[in-house]
Parts: sequence; structure tokens; C-alpha cells
Amino acid sequence: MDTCLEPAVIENVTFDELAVGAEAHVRRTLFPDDILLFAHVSGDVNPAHLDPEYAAHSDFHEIIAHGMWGGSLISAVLGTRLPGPGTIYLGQSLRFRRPVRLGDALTVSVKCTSKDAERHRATFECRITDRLGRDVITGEADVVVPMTKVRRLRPSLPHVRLEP
Amino acid sequence: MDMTMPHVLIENVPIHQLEVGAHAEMVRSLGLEDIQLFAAVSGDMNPAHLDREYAKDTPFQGVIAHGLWGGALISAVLGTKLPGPGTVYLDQSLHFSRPVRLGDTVTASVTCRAKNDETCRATFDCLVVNQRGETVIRGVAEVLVPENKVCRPRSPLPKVSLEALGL
Repeated sequence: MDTCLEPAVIENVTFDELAVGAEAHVRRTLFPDDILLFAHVSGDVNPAHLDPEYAAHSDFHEIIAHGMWGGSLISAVLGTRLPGPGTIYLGQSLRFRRPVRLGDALTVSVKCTSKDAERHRATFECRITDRLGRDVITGEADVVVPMTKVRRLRPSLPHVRLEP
Repeated sequence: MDMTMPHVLIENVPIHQLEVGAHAEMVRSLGLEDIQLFAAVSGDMNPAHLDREYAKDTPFQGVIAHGLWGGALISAVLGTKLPGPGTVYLDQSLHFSRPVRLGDTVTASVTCRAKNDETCRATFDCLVVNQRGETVIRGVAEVLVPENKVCRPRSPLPKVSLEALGL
């Protein structure tokens, strides 16, 4: 699995610190284990993701990632980078524009487009692009932005083993 | 983890068989493993999900599931039950009303609200409720419904083991 080097500390951007136009992104490449793990944790055993023989005859001609895996990468940026810990998810729209294939290198980004000072809410434009800059997923997120600073040691990533 | 595998075969509902009002659902209980696996596969290491000490002082007073885990359950119903294999996801909206806590049992369901035989598009109302019947997520999905019947054996999943994290 591809986990780019992450800072040891996880820190949020509070409502007062958050500027309209602020952006954050992560990069991630799709590996076979990502698909298997996502199937496990979601129960989504659609053969489009798991069955190469079936997938060869599908519209996409090969195995593709679960669409919601992309959604989960967007939520990871919101929950760990911008605004980060303390953020409360209110809504997310996702438009699936292109499938993600094994080995595809994605850039997952969020950008603050508006702030509501009364309710401490903010709207983020969300976008996943492939190596060629083509849109894979676009969408919008509505969140409650934390008012207080959070700065903590990043929880360690679970070590996962897959046994056939 | 709650990996119910009730059927050996996985089968779809093609556009000509899909009826407005058709409904399918899936029931899952949230275990610590689900949270840890979701963190691993998404890279979402937000302490609200992984750090018990931090989470007890949050408004939710304990670790909660990633919101998109509930979204993933909705997509699982669409991709495996209704319409099932061959479905192409176009759009999904999700409104998060309540957190899912460890031990909660949620039901993710989809109900066909509209379909168009010519474009093969259909709209589904999506809902995740907890064991008390409270809404956790509601949303709407737009999909392309398959034209042809698919009936295949389910692919086996590898066993997953997690190393203890001291949670």
C-alpha cells in the first residue's frame, strides 16, 4: 500500500485560521491490496472490483477501484489536513467521472470555497485527478470547522496482512 | 468483522427488470477492525476514529466510524444487490446526520425512485439507519443500470489480519 510520508504530528486548521482559497492535497496510487481491503471493509464484492475474468468483459475491460474508495480519500484529506481533526462532516457530493485502474496515481485535493462565520461551517471543492490531470471524481463537501486547535501525535497506521 | 456471505452467487437486476420502488439492504455492525481497516485503506488517520483518549473529549465522546464507511455500505448495496454487477456509478450525495459508534448495527438501504429505460439511468434514495431506527446518512445515487443479466460466483476475499494497535 502506498502511504506517502506523513508528518508525525497531526494538526488542524481552526475556523479563524481557515482562509477561503486554502488548499490541501494527498497523492495516492491504487494497488491490488487497496481493492481487496475496501471490499472487506465495505462488503462490496462486486466482480467489477474482484473478478479479473468478469472485468475483462466489462465496459472498463479490467478491474477498477470502488468509486467510494476515491470518496474515502477526499474524506481523509478533510479529516487529517484541511480542516483536520475536530472537523464534523455534514455532507459530501461525489460525481464519478472516470474509473481508477490498478497503478493509477491520483492527486486528491480540497479547496475552501466559502465560510459561514455564524455556524462555523465551510464548503470545500473536492477533486481527484489522474496522472494526466483528468478529473476522476469531483464534488463538494460541507463541514463544521473546529474552533479550537488540535495538535496530536499522528495515530500509527494499522498493519494489515492479507492471506489468500 | 461482520462479513456476511449469505449467497454463493452474485446477481444483478437489469434495467428491464428494475421497478420503481424496488428496495435492497445490507446490515453491518461496526467493530474496531472496521475502523482500523478503513483508516488503512483510506489513509484517514483522524484521531476521532483511532485515538480513544482524544475521542472521549470530542462532542461524540468516543471513537466513531469514518463517515464514508457508511457511504461505502450504500455503494456495496448498489454494486452487489440492486442493481448489482454491471452498475456504473455516476453520482452520489451523502448527508451525515449522526455518528456511528463501536457496536452500532446499521442498515444501509437503497430504493429505486426513478428509472429511464432509454438512457438506462436510475435514481436511488439511499439511507443508513442505526439499531434505534435513527437516520445516520441519507443521500441520493444516480447510476447506469446494466442492460444484461449477470450471475456469477462470488469472488473469495483473502483473510485480513490486523496487528494490535494498543487502542
